[in-house]
Amino acid sequence: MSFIKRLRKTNGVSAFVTIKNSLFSKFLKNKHTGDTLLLKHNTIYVLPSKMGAGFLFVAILNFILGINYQNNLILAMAYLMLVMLVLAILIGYSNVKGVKISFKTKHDDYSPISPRLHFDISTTKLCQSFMMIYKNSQVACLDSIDKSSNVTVALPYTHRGCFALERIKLLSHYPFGLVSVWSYMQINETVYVYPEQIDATKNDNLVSEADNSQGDLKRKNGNEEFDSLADHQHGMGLQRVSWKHYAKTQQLMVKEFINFASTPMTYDYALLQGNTESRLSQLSFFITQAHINDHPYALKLNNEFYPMAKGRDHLVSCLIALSRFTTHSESDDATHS
Amino acid sequence: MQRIHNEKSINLTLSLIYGIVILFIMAELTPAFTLVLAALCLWNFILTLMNKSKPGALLANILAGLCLVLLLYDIGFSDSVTLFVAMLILSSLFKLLQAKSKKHYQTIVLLSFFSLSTVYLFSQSIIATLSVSALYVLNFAALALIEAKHNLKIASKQSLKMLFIALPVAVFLLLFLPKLPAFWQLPGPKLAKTGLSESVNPFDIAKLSNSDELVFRAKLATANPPSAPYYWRAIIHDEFDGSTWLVSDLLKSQQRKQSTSTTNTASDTQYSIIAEPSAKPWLFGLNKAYSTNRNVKTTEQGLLIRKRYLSNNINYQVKSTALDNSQLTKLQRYQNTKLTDAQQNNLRSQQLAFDLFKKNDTDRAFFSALTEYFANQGFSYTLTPEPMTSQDTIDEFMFSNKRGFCGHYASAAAFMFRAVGIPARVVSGYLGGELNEKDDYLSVYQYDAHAWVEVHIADEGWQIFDATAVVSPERLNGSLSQMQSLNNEFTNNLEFSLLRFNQIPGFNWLRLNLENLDYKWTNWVLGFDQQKQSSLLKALFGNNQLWKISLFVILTVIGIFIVYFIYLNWPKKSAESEHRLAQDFMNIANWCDKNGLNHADNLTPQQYLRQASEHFPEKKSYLLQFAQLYSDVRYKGDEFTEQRKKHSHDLVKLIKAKTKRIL
Repeated sequence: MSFIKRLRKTNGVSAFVTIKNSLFSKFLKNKHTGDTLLLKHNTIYVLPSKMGAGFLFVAILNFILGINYQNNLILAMAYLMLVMLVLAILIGYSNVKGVKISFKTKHDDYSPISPRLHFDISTTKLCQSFMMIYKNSQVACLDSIDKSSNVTVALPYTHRGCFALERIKLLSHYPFGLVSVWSYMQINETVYVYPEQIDATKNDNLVSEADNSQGDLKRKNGNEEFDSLADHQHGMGLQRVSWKHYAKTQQLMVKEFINFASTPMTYDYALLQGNTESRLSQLSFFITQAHINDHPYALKLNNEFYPMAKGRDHLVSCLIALSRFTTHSESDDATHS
Repeated sequence: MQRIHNEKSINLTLSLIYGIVILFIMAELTPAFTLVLAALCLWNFILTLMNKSKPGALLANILAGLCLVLLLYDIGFSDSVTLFVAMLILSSLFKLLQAKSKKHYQTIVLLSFFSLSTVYLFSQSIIATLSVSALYVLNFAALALIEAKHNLKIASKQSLKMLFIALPVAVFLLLFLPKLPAFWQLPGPKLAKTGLSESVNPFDIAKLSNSDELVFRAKLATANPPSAPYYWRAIIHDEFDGSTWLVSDLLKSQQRKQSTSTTNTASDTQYSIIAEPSAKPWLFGLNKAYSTNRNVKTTEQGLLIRKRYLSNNINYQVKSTALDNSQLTKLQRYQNTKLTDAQQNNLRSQQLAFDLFKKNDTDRAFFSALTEYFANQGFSYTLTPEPMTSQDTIDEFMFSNKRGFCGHYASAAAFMFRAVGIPARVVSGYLGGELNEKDDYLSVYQYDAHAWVEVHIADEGWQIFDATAVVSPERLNGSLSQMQSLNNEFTNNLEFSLLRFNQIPGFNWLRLNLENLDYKWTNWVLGFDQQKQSSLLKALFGNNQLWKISLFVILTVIGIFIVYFIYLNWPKKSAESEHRLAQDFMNIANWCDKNGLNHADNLTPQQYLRQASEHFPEKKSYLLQFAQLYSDVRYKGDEFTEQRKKHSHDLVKLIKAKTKRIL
C-alpha cells in the first residue's frame, strides 16, 4: 500500500514539476538563456516578499485600527507603511536594474569538492544585497556590488555525476527585505563531478585477481624510488608533498618517484573489483596519477574506449567519461558486491 | 534557520523600542506589570550587551505562562484594549528574548510596527508623536539590518531618508483620501485620567488632588460669544444620600436619549470645544447647550455626552441658550427637593434654612439671604480643608469649620435649599479657563474643576447659586492658576509641572508657547475629522465631486511615485564619475586663483601646480607633494587607496590653511 502511495506521490510531484517547467519555459521564452544576462525591465520580476506580505497585513491592521478609533496618527502610520512598501518596490527594482551577469568559466572537480562557476557581475551603480540561488539553496551572497565584482559559485553537487545546469535564481531583498526582486539565468552548460580519487594500492583487498592473467594493469607495491622534486599540480594528493621543502620555501613540491610501471597502460573498468563507485574512484586515481607523471594511458569503460594518449584534454575527456558512466545493471552490481 | 549578521544591534534597538513603548503606556498598566515588562526589556538588553546566550525555550515558556497569569489577574478582562496591548507587548518581548533566527526577528519587527501604533490609542501628544516617529525610524533600521550587513547608523540614515520621502505622501493621503466611517464599534481604552466623578462628597477630602492636565479648550465665536463667568456644566447631581451627591437613576435614564427640543434662536451663544481624551463620557457646555456633532449627545437638561471614541480628542460646535425657565413637573419638583434619609441629620443647618426662609418668604428672597449669609459669616475658601467625618458634616462645616472649597459650599447650599422645599441640584463641571490672547481661546485644566448649585425659582426658572463666588469672588474670573491669593496653596497642591515656575517670566512664556503649540496640534492634526475634511475638500473641489477627488489623489500619488522612480534611475553624473583627485585639484586651483596666481590658460595640472608652487613658496612642499600624488594616480595608474584619499584631502586642507607661522 505504502509503496503505491509513494509511487503516486512521486508521480504527482514529477507531473507538477513538468507542468511548472513547461510553464516557465513558455512564459520566460528564452530571455534568460545564455551566458550573459542584463537585468532590465523585461527580465526583472518584482513582488512583495513573505515579509512584505506580513508588512502589508500589519499596515492594513493599522488602517482598521485607525479607522475604528478615528485616530489620525494611527491612520497616518498605516498610510506611511503603504507608501514605504511602494517605495521599497521602486527602490528594489532600481537596485538591480542594469546589473550585468556574465558567466565566465566553469570548474569541474573531483568529488567531494563541488564544481564551481565563475561569474563577472558589473553594474552602472551600486547594487546591494545580491543573492544567487541554485536549487533552492543560496550559493552566493554579495553585500554590495560597486561597478564590478567576480563571483565564484560552488554548486551543491558533491557526488560523482554529470549535471546539466539548472536555472539559477538571482534574488535581492533590498531594501528592508520587504520585496523580492528576482530574475533567472539559464546557462547551457554541463558540470561534472569526477569520481573521488581513491588509491587502491593502499588497500590490498582491492588488488585485482585478474591482475596477473591480463597483464595490462600492473601495480607493484614498493617498487618506486625517489627521483626528483616537481611542482605540485592540481589534482595531486598531499601524500607526496615534501613538507621539509614546504617548511623552508613555502612552496608545495611533490616528491617524484620513478615508477617502474611507466609503460603505457590501459585501465579497464571491467578488470577492477568493488562496486561501480569504488571502481570509478580507482580509475580516477590511476588516470590522474598517470597524467601527473605524464604517462600515456588508455581507458576502457564497458563499451567506451579512449585510446592511448596523454595531456590535459585527454585527462578531462576521460574524467568526464567517468563522471557520466552508468551501468545498466547497477542493481546487480550492488547485490554482487 | 538563517543566522543574521547584526544580531547585537538589532537586539539592542528592539529592546530600546519596547522600553520606550512601555514608558508611554505605563500610566495605563499597574506598577507590577510595568515592572515585569521593563525587567524583560532590561534582561534582553543586558544579555545582548554581555554577549550571553538567550534563555532556553522551556524557561522562557514557563516565565511567559506566569506573566500571562499575572497579566490576567492584574489587568483583568474589563478593559479589553489595555489587556490586548499588554498581551501584545508581553508576547513580543518574550519572542525577542528567544529570537535566534532571521525569521524570528522579522516577526518581532512586524509586531512592533503594530505595537508602536497602539501607543497612539493612549497618548497623542506632540511628544508621544515625536518619540513614536523616532522609534519608527529605528524599527525600519532594524528591518534593514536583518537583511544587510552594514551598521545601525547607516541603516537609520537610510530609513530616515526613505521615511522623509514617504511622509509627505502619507500626509497627502491622510488629507485627501476620503475618510471612512468606523467599520465596527471597538471598545475604547479606559484611560487612567483624573476627572469629574458622578458622586460628589467633598467632606472626606483633605486635599484636592489637583492636576494641571488639560481638560478641554474652548474657542469662542467672534459672532456671538458667551460672556464670563463661564460655568462649564458637565454633570448634574440630583440625589443626596446624607453625605454624597449622586446622579439619580431617573436622571440617568433621561440622559440615555437624545434631546429633541432644539430651539434655535438668534440670541444663542456660539463656541467650539476641543475636549481631550477622557475616561468619562461627560462633555462641557455653558448653560443649556446643544450640539449637532454626530458624536455628541445632547440631553434634556442641556448637558453634552460623548457617544464614542473616549480615547480621542473631540472637536464639537456648541450653541447655548439660557437655562430652562419653564415650570417643573411634579416629578421633577419631587426629584429636586427630596432629602429622604438626609433629613435626620444636619438639623442645625435645616433649622438655619427654616429661619432664613421664615424671614424672607419668597424663593428669591431666600436665595439672596443665603448668599448674604455666606458672605457675612466668616466663610473662607481653601484648597486644603480639614476632613469632616461626623454624621452632621454640613452642620460641622456651616457652624464650626467654615473653611472649604467649592464642593463644600455647593453641597451645603443645595441641602439648605432642599430643606425649605426649593428645588436645587448640585452641578459639577469647570469654572473659567485661562485665556490665550494670541489665538483667543480658553484652556480649561483639571484644577479648574468646580461644583455649584442650580436652584429653581418660581417664575424665573433655574438659576445658578454659587456660594464660592461670594466667598472668593476672584475665582469667578479666569483660571485658578491666575488667582494671586491662593497661589502658594495652589502650586503646593499641584503635581510637578511647569506651572510651579509660573512666577519666573521665562518659564511662563515657555509654558504658554508650548500650550499654544499643543492647541494647534490638537486642533489641526488630531481634530482633523470627517467634517473638517469634507469642508476642506468642498473648498478645493466644489460640491459632490467624489470622482474628481479620487482622480486627483490617485494621479498625484502615481505622479509622485513616477518622479521618484525616474530620479532613482537617472544616470548619476555624480561626484563618483569625476575622480576625487580631479575635484581636489579644482579645489586647489580655485584657492590659487583667488589668492592672485596669474597663469596662462590651458596649463596641464602638473604645469599649473609647479607654477603655483613657485608663486606660493610657503606652500611649495605641499603643492609638489600633491603634484606627485596626482601624477602617480592619474597618469601612472596607481590605485587610489583610502590612504592616498586621506593624504590628498589633508594636502588640500594644508594648502588652503592660513600660514601664520611663516609671517
